[in-house]
Amino acid sequence: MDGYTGRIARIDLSTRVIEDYPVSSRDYEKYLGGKSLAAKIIYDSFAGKVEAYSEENMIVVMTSVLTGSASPCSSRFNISTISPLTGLLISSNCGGNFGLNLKRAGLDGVIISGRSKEKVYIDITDTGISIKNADHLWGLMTSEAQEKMGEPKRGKLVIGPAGENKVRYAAVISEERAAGRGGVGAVFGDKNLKGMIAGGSFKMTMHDEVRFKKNNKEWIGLLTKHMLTGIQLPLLGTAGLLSMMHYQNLLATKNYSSGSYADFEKINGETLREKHLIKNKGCVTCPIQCGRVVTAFGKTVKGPEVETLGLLGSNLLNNDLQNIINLNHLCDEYGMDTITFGSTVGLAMELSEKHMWDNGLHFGEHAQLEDLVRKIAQREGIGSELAEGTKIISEKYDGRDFAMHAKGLELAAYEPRAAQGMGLGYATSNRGGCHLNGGYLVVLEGLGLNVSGKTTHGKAAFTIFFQDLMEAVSAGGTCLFTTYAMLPEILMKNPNHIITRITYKIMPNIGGVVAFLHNHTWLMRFNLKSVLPHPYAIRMVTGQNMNMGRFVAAGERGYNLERMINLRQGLKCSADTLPKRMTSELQRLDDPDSKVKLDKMLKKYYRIRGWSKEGVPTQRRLKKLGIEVENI
Amino acid sequence: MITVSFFGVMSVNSKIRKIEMKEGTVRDVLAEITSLYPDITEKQLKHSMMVINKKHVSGRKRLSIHLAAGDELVFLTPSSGG
Repeated sequence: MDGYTGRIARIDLSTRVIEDYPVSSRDYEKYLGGKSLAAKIIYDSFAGKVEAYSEENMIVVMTSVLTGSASPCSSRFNISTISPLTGLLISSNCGGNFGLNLKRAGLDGVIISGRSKEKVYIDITDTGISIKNADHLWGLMTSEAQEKMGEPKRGKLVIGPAGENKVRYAAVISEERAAGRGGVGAVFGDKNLKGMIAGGSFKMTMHDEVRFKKNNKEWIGLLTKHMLTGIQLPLLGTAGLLSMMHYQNLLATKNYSSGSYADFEKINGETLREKHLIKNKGCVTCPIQCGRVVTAFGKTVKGPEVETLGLLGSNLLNNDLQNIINLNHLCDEYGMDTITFGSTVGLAMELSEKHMWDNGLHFGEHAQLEDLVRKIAQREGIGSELAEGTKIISEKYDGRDFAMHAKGLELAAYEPRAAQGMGLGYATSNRGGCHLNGGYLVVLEGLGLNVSGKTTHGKAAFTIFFQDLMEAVSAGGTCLFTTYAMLPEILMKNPNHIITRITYKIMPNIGGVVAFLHNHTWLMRFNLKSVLPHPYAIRMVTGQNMNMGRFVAAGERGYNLERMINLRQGLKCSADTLPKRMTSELQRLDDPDSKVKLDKMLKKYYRIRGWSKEGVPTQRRLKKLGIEVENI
Repeated sequence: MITVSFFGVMSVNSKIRKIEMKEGTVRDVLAEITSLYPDITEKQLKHSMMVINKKHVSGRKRLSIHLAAGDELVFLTPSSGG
């Protein structure tokens, strides 16, 4: 099968049985790979609700059709499981070197279930899979564990002490990159699985290599010339967003009580570049190179992303950039998600300020935070409570109104009261409070483009379109950052031109057109390589009749199937919501529009998605998408 | 005096983060910036997103806005991330 190895392995850690998991070529075509194919495997494998910490729960590590193909930004892999943080499906995406090495080992994916009696890691080559003792790796930091596994040319992923101690937001680390969100690392820990190592010499076949390479060349040109992916991201990294977020009231500050931070210049991308940047670093096959290399504890390490700067900086009123860099490094080493860490500490600080929990943590005081990372990872003292995440802590201390999560997953650093579409995205995202899975509409609402973040008009349709597009891009195996090159440069090059301003005024009013296109994807039976090269690349790799319409439909299929898994896990539509602060408190008292008008958008969202008023995909919609379910 | 701040790509390219300038209209300030810093063109400034005292301003009328002592004029460039 062109583009795939055609093999997915299933490993039961309880019985140590290793076998092939059959996936039809039709399912490969329908779900592409990555998070969507993982959802299909998880949906088919269970009859009912599954607990995160159970032998039954499975970890699905998936590559995708473009992984290892050398197309731009395609070294990524995905880990899906039932999240200990949300109780729902979590899919966590990662750069690093594991994905393409898994494919070189001749596997599209690995499914891990059961629970090992001893500490183990999994060794995968193109000649076989073995489960090996990991006593010598247990307790090690993520960099040391990877180093001790040896074989520098093979791909690795590991958990750190946080995963071993089942911190609910523990990450999986590959090189310095993290599958950070939702606690996938804790599920590894629950299964006594320290990590995996993979490599081999399998070479996948390709339908039309000549045209694929030509498309790659044009695609790289598109990415390197575009002002976001070719200039801003290489120059400033994602940290380059922080100043814009401050001025657009989008920067989570003091546990999301405000959208701007007086000391933002001390922690923004410009300061990071000027005072800390050593060099850029990106994933394999990435022409963007958004990663930063900086110094922490005398070592050159990965620098913080904008989310980390926001959550560990403005959200905690921490203006010490070196401290944020150190915290970011420690979170990577202990193996935990910086977003949830920052949000959980922010909640603890607010509860402390309100005298609801005497925990010794205070906004603006960061001296003890470095040790706090260790305490959480080791579940020591107060760290054991903070290891549970915002939802559980807020329930214990009666502080639900101050817990900044959606469905149990903490919000990213974008304060949604200045971006209605982002608010809807957080509320409806299958992962919970995730900006990317939520459609990342904030990039249209004040960051890249300047469509009004105050209006709800058209936002439901745009959110759905971008949620499904992001799903397809991720399932296809490409970094989501490649989609920024879709944004028309003409609008960004001169934001003050009359045509630009008229376009921004009109955009909210074309929600109906976007919804129509979304529901009639067959109208997009073509490829526009200069806008969205992904489906054409998949077509050249696989020989499938892939086009823009089918690509978006594949995303919608994956999104709906993930929703079905969440409903089976007990999700109710009442969970499609936001923290009370976001919907009931004005961000700025002089602006009556500065709260998320969620109810207004949610009804439209369900309708356009073809879901019932209760937020359940209808049989008709599922049939249209080719999703077979026994009962809804 | 007013404060003029540069962020994003323009601040990296010009190596200027913050300057103090005389009060006047936005048009006056733009002219003064380009005369003091020849690496920055008027086109670059006019094609940036402008914020005055944390309020986004656009359109031709923005050039006539009078900046009084203590005001802040900010130039930003579109950004993305994740």
